[in-house]
Amino acid sequence: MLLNRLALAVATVLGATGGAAACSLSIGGVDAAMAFNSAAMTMSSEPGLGAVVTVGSTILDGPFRITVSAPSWVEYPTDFDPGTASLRSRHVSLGTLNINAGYDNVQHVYNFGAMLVSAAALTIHHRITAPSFEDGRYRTRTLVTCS
Amino acid sequence: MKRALAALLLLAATPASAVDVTFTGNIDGLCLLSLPTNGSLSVDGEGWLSSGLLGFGTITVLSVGDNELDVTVPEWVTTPSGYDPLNEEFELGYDGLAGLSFASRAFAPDPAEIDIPTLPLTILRLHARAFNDNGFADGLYRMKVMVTCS
Repeated sequence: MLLNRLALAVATVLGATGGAAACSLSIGGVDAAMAFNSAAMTMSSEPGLGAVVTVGSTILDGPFRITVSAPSWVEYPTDFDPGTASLRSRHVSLGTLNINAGYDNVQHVYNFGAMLVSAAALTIHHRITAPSFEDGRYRTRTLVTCS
Repeated sequence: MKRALAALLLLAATPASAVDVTFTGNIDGLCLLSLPTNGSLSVDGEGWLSSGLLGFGTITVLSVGDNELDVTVPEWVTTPSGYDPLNEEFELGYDGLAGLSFASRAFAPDPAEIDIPTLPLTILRLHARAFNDNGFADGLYRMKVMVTCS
């Protein structure tokens, strides 16, 4: 009887895993740096390293979906008008995931079948272009979700 | 056993994982003046020794953040020995190009204070002139204006 219950429990768990699969995402705790370029009137994480999200998945996780949100504002100087600015991001992960999106401000969704992904690096860059910048701190974000 | 089953189901139901990717950049005030070019002077129809429309000097401005350009009223660098400065007066005018196009002033006897935002390399044209009831003796005249950015 006890063995039967154990078998039922394991079967239930495996079945549920197939319906709610996800990969793992991780990132370092520090904001990626953006630098101001006065000649181009941009603030950009390039030519720096940008932000690197590490993606992992196993065959048992089943199919999964990675969503990369459009970039959005977190913080900007009081006198700065974000309505006059263009905030765009790009992301790339070569190799297993093989995704590459140029600078834009829209959400991207990628669907993958069940596969082994061992620490794939998804690199994200942000770029702000504006006719004028003010002194102060500029902070932007992208939400990466795996489901 | 029931407790073990509940824990296993909870793990399996984890719906999604997410990370917030944030970027930060800072701008601290910076202002650079470079590439000055000299203007030229000639006597105009009203008797002013003036840079006129085409004899302007220029300065190139690079500004990051909010800054202020200060421009002094013209003063002499060189005058001929026969020149009498009594009753002389000076005037300054300026006009900016591109991102500085908002900065424009006709000739006036006052110095200028121009608030500027972040600008890529941008040219400010400077106009200067002098008048003297006693007129101008023959010889070489050189005048200057001082531009500072802070």
